[in-house]
Amino acid sequence: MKLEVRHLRRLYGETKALDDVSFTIGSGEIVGFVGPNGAGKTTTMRILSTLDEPTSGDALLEGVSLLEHPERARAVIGYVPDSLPVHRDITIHEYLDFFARAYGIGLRRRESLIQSLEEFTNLMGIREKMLGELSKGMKQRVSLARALIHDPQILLMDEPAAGLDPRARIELRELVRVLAGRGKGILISSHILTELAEICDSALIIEQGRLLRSGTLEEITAPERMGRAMLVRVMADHARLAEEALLLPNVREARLIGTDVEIDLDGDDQACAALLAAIIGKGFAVVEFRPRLSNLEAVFMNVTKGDVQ
Amino acid sequence: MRILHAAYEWIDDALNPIVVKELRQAVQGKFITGILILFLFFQIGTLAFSLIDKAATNNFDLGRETFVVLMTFVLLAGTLAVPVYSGYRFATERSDLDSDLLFITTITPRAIVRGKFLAAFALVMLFYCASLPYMTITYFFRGIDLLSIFVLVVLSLVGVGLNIAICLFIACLPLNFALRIVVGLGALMPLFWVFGLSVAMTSEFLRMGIGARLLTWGLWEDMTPVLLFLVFCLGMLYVLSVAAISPPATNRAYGIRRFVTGFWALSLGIMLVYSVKAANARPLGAWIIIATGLLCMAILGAVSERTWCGRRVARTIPTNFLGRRLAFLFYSGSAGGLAWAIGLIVMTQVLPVVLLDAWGLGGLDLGYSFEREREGIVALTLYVIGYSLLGAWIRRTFFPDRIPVAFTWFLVALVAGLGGALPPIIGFILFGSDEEGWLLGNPFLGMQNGSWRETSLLFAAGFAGLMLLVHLPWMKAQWDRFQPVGEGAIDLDDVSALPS
Repeated sequence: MKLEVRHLRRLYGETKALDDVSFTIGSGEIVGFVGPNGAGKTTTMRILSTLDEPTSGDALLEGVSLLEHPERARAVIGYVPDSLPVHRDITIHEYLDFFARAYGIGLRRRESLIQSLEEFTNLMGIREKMLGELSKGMKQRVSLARALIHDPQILLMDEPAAGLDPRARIELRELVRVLAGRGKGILISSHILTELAEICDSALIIEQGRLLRSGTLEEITAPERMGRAMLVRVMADHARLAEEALLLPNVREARLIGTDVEIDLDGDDQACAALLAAIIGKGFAVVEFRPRLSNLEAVFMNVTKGDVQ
Repeated sequence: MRILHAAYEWIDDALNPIVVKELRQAVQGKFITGILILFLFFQIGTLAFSLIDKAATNNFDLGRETFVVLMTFVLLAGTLAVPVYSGYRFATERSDLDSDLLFITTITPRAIVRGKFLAAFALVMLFYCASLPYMTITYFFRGIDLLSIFVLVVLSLVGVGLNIAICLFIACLPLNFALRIVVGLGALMPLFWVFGLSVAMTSEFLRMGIGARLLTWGLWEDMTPVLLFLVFCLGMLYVLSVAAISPPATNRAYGIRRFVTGFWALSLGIMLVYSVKAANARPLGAWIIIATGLLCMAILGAVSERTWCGRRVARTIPTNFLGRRLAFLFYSGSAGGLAWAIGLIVMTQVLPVVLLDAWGLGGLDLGYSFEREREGIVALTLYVIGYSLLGAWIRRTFFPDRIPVAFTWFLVALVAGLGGALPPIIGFILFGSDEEGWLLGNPFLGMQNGSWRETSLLFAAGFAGLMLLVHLPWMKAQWDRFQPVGEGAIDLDDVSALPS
């Protein structure tokens, strides 16, 4: 199933919460949604989950307008908010049972469905625990189980890793991967960009309601990779390498970072090969020679200004 | 066995999910269990006290007196404890996030409110069921009959329903925690009022022997208007609650206007029959005054609505001639709401008199003070129209982005307050005059007796007429824009074309 977002705009008075946002989520694709607080991520997710209405634009699910047929969208979209609502005096199992009933799932299917979701999200052993007694990580798993109860094809996850400990984050990441493997399209927003970069196929960077960059991670980081940076580790004389590298052709900058020397150079792969040959030629024992990859964090810092409306 | 299982499955699937969840939570929580134990303790205590009281042997009203005490305990639980508990739970649950999660399921806002109401009602029924054996025992104490016991038990449920509806409505209001506490404390007054009235009703009905009068016209002649009003309150609270928790993009006004119009027609019909049967049109006269007063509030609601019904609603506008016109009046939207409210007020004033004349009953007395009160309420209505439109104009012209449209009613109240208070102050300070003419901006001036009533009526008519004239182009523009998708000239994706 493909979710196609077309020119979404959302105005609150004069404030543009979303300004001409367009992107696509395909089956089995994990799309990272990155932006500072107040950038428009939650507004986008609320519109896509039919909780809000855009001022203009639309979102199409397999060509069917989400605005014209919100009830159809609800049947195929699952939404995981950043925190679980307060529900006292109710167990995990009862909570899931409640939402299964709310989705109109009949008794015959309900029990087996909830059981399989509890197994999938590793909640089986604690299903009779009260919601109020759960840790943040457990709550997030309950939230995910709830969002999956009607077997949605598109999953919207708003900051699902916020406040989770490392183990819970790793578990969540694995669950997301499994879900994508089952063909679900996933839009996931997070402030932990290194983690997003690990699981996402593509990313959207948004600020002040405007999509600044979108595409596969390769495409997104491409502009930052135009000028290359290489990391070189040698057996000895690191400081001398940092000094002498500046005299080599195509080198713009060289600096010592710990035991590594970071060299910025202009040019393509040929220039890299020539640099390596020149360093070896100067008698340095090269242990490691690798490009410094431009990551999502670097791109994010480059393209966003940190402004809020 | 298979049939039983199929029946169980059918019942389980048909159950409102909210009811199931609420009752599960109530059973697992401590509050209801605690209250129930306390309740039973008091019930048993009351019976025991009645039995061991030596004076009881000669008291032929012991059954009635004991029943009233037991009923008071039941009403304490049913009209106060359980409604407040249910409302509090709903309010704490109803963070934006929580209600949002429900709205992305297939459950409707109506089902949510109904579920909450039924769950609270089921809890009250638990208290009633626990109490019924004790209340029935009072029959053997003398002074009360079984029919009276059961009739009073059933009648008291109206008060229970009303208080549950009040508490749920407050819980539904989109207010922050502090404001909700303030409104909740304010709501204690009607809650206690209903509780007190229910206890008083129990006592009074027992005194007059309701069991014996149950099938007499006299009883129902007195009860019908009260029951009608209570049903209106219940229905109104229900539709308002549904609208309050519905997402802003939905057709929130539709349910409210449909209910009000339906109830308006039903109550008019009942009052007509009532008047004809009693050969006395006073009930109809009272209905005209009350209905006009209530519809004034609809004007304030209409100006506080969004101007355009929104894209989601626009897609459901019927394409046929009549359908679109009716939809304009009933769908969410400020101009349509104004037209609907004003139209209904005019019909309230005109239709009953026309119908009475049509039945040859034009000479029926509409009440001793009817004409005087009608003049007052008409003047007030005209002031409300004038100030509402003035407030809406001020918001649109000067504060389109600073004051949310939903708070236009507040601006209207402010403008009306200033309109009433400023002119006499200015008149006194600048001209040293304390003539009543300076009071013409006071919306309640027409309600008072005196020589100024006609002048204020004329002034209000002029004021309302002028504001309506000013708003005519605006209303015409709203009508032109009220187009089904694909039919109208408006480009839904062109933001600049949308009205503010």
